[in-house]
Amino acid sequence: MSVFTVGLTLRVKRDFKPIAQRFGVAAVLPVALFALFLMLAGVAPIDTFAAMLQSSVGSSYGIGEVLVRAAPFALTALAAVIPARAGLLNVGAEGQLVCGGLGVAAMAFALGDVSPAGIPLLIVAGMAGGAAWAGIAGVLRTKLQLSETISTLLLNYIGYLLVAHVLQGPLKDPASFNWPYSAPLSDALRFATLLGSRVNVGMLLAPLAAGVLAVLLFRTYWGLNLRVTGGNPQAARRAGINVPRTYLTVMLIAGALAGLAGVLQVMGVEGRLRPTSGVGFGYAGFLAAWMVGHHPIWVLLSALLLAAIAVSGDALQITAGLPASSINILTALVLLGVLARGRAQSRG
Amino acid sequence: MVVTDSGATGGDQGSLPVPLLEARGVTIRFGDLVANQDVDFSIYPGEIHAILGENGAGKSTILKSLFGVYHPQAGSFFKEGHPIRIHSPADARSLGMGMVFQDLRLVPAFTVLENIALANSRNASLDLGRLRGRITALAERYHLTVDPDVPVWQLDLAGRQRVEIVKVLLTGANIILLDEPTSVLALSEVDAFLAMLRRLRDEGHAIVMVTHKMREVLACAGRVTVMRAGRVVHTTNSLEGLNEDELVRLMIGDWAPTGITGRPAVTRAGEPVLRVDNLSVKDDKGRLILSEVNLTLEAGEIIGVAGISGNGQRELAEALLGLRPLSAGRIIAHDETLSGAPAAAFLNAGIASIPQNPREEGVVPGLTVLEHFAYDGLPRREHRMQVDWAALSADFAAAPAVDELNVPEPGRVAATLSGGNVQRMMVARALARRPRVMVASYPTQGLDIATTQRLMALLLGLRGHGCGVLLFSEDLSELYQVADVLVVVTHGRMLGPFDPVKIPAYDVAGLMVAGDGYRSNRLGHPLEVPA
Repeated sequence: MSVFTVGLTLRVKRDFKPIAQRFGVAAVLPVALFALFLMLAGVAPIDTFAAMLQSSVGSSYGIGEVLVRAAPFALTALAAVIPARAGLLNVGAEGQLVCGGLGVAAMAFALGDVSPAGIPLLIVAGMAGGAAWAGIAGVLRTKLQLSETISTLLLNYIGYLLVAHVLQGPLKDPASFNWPYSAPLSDALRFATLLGSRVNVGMLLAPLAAGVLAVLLFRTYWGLNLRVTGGNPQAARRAGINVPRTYLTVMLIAGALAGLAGVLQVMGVEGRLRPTSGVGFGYAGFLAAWMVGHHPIWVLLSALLLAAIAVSGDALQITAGLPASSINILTALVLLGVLARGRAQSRG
Repeated sequence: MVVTDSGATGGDQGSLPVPLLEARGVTIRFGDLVANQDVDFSIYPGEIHAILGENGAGKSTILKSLFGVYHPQAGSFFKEGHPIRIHSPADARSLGMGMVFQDLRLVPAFTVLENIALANSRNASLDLGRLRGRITALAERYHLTVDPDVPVWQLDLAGRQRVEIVKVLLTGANIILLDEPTSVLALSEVDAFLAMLRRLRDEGHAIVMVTHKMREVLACAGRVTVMRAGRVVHTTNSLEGLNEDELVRLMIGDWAPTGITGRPAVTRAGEPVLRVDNLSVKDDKGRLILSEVNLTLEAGEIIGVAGISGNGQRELAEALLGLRPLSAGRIIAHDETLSGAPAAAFLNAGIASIPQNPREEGVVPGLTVLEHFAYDGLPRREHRMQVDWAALSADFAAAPAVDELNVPEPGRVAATLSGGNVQRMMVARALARRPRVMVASYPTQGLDIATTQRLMALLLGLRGHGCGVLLFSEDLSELYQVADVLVVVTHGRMLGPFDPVKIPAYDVAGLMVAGDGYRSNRLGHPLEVPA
């Protein structure tokens, strides 16, 4: 018993330190470098940071917006975490997310006007859409030994184009003045929102998914076998673990999670599917997952951080006169910080 | 006895010149563990200096600190009498050292040539053609079989080691540090290897070799340093008067191995637990490496599989575990045809295994010892659909051989385990399955003498409980110690069965090397090989 306790303590310590380190390098250093960029652009960095903070966490509206963005980020992050734990690199949350959105739009179109009873059906349809898209990469990997890193990445572009195509065709809303949008969901099929903000009940799915996955990953035999597969596929084979099936399963789960992010975006925020719905969220999630060493709970934190950065982009435009997209520089710096950190660790 | 004068402790070396390299008073601690305590060590040009000791005696540690991998808390280094600092392997290399590590450091996906080029990548220009020529020349000179264009993953451990040695020699090192070099070699390769060491020595290279095999020490070393529990217990300048027993006594102290003396009486009871009919397997390159293998393993029987590694042992073992498809034939356990079934079916049929390369095939670096037992070894323990770690801890403590083999604590992370500890974990884990068939591939590798003896006793215990054991080994003395039946894997075939009581070890070695064309000198005719 006591030996077991020692083992647990060891594990907690072991997990925590690298995460703190990763977070430090991946968050503090990039902010310093971004300050340098702001100074070069002739903007006072302190004032700008203050405005950024004000716009993101300085008001209840700002906090709400951060949460609205963080929820899908966390889900796409989990879509990277689960495969990574099994030794796969899923770069395809982008495509899986939009296919999730497509699933929702298609199901809503098929159902027509229905009561809130249709909500679970839409959620399932969204998850199935994402899972199907990731499943393609999973099958390619298990049957043809095709690298899932490459296939998921390329499937993103096909996913965007597929959605664009469908929104120009069968799912196009006739009432949308020729915009490539799906028809708006009826209010009954949308997630209930909080006091007129965009914060909605669907967002609870993100922490819920994180909690469930953490339990599955760290407390069940299923998760143990998954981590064995990720740590050493040869050892997994020797232990009788079906490695290809594990690969396919984690890809399907990852796709369903990214699809769920699409569900949130369509049913919670936008109310319809646009070609731009959730674009970039998949990569943000991928980054969030790496920042915390693929820990299913800690991604909630890194997703919040990246969401705050993304939301504060507007403040750059308003107060500093910089384009809102220059916030991408900060995100990119965070990515570089993560990569540098990872490299230092693999060397040490 | 000559051996009582302790050369390294005194300053005056008599006829010996100033050491080429010297370590004085080296102390290295890892947390609470003292790996080296006040170690003195010296190496002279043109000598082979053996460091002898059991697992955990601190042999590798002193070697790695000489090579700049570890940084001692106390002690100093000298080159030709001048104090030096060794901060990193790069420093060590610039001082003319080269090291062959126990866990060979090669990129599996690269060819031999590419791996060697990688080690030389500091040179601005990379002339692969010229490098290939140098490799071939060097290999010929020292009688090393090295094909520059084979990918490293296709080589067995002995082949990989030859690549490492070529790599070191190409850097022009004159001090060569070898960490248990013969542990990966086939029996028949050891003599050639030692001959190569002598050749290097004769050309003026200084060679330090860590080992726990006395025969090798006696065969080639000029000096020997014996270590025990982190300290140097003996250094001698001459091997005169030293024999194997004396060295064993120095290594393990006053404890004498109470090992198995003589092979226990054959008590072949049983019904067959594993049958192999006309089996053929291919290697990773798709070449038929073994064919027409017929074998019946009975309950309570140990079949020793002798053979030089790389003759299909790995492929056969993998086939018997459901990890490699058969080209032909059938595998039957307890009347159940297993061939074609997934690996899980083989495990469920009660077949357990000890892998040939535990780190590659059995270890998940980030998981603890207990987690290793949980995913493979102990029966599932679940409580409300979650892993019941408390129950597993108890099962672990009660598992057979965990205590006996001194398996590391359940909370240790596998990545921090030494080779010997990994092997203990692998063996104990296989035994925890309470198998009906045990496929043990080179189970004693990396284990010290005492643990080897305990392992042999455990295998005999399994046999006593009606388990059938297939023991792959190159160490004939090991096989003769425990096997009821011997077979020899050689030249694409399995020869035998032989009765170890009747066939001399000399003849088995001959079959290993020459296949069924072997003629016993004493018998003067081809050895009778029963079908």
